Amino acid sequence: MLRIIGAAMIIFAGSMIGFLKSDALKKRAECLDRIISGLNLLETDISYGKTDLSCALFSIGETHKIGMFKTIAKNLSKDGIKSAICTALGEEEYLLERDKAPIKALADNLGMTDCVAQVQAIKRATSSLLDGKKNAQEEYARLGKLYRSCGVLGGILGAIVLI
Amino acid sequence: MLTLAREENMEGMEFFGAIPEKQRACLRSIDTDRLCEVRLRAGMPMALVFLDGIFYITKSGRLTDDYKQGVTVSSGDLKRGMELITRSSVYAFSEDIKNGFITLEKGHRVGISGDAVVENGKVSHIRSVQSLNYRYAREVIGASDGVMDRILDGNRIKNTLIVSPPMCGKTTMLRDIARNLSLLGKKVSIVDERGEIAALMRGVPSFSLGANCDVLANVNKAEGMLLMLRAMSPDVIITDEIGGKEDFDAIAEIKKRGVSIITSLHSFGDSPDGFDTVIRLGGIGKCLE
Repeated sequence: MLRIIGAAMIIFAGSMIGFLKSDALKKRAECLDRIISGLNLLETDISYGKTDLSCALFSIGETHKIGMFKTIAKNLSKDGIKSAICTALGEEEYLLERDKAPIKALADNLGMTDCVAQVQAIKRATSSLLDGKKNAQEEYARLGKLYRSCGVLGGILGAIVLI
Repeated sequence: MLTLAREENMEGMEFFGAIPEKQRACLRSIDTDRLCEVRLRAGMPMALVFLDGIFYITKSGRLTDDYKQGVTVSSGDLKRGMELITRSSVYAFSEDIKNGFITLEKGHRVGISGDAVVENGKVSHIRSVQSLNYRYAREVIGASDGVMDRILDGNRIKNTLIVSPPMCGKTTMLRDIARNLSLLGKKVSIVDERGEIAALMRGVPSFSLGANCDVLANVNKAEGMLLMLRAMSPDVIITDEIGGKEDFDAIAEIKKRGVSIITSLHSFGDSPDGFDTVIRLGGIGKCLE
């Protein structure tokens, strides 16, 4: 009886690892997608509305459920834009360093130049993030199912070995 | 050397909150009642302009007249200052920066100087900020109580020109006249080209202006006066620091429509330069007749 329970737990644990790995790939693509949409909205707010950065970031973050934008808005006045963005990026667990690089580059300019330069900087960041999103989607299509299957099969193999 | 003893929570956070943290930390015990300006210059000590002179402040918050003991300001501090003044949104203040100043909440004003970028003969931006001049604004309720009987002739509002040297309270006086007239039930339109009279923040005046004041801010005075004349059917239009020919043309148009005008003019000492300008432009008669 104990062996059966142990085997079931190993299968469950193996499957969970596989599913979590697969889910991380999916969430990376989703996260990049949300940030890109948010940056597009921010570009509009800056170029047409000339809305304050903290108001624009908070309202976009709230409406479109982008936690990173809300975190930046919250820390903006206290820490300054660069530090606020770095803090927010630190909380993003699904993004890779190469995904964060264009956002860090944007942090050097965001808010501190005129509208034209702002739009150009956001477009540059968006373009790099789109490449990252494409890459994340491809990785998910290629590896997502593989991770899930490997997790389940690894768990079963472990269980067989145990029994 | 002068040390100020008063220690309390910082008043006027709208003003002090826009000063970089390093300098702000030294200002906790200063006397805001006498403070006129805080000047930050790259590589130089922070200067505090009081009614009785210029002082510098040490790291411990002690005032001194020896600039060598003052807390110095770095380029990074000025960059942080710009970030605080614009709330990290320089793009939203590009028009103000072109004019050389940004108005904060409660009417405080920050003058900006540095390396100007000129396009088509006009300043388009100021890069590499060299100095920031934080000017502390005060609301003096009742400042105009003593002159209201000169401005009012029964129910009629006389056309009024306030002439004085800079920093003597022309804007403060205009603001209080607007408040008094508004409280008397007169329809007051304020054309606030530099955002100092009403200091609108998200559409709400930062100062007390009574219930009958309409404000048009950040617009060319002449254009703004005619716009308010057409749009708001005012009893009186109030604006600050006239000087250009187009201002006098607009005033002439306003007078033709039977609307009163109250405004101000810069002058210096006994020979008011401002008056010379007005006479040369043929505007004095239009203003005062």
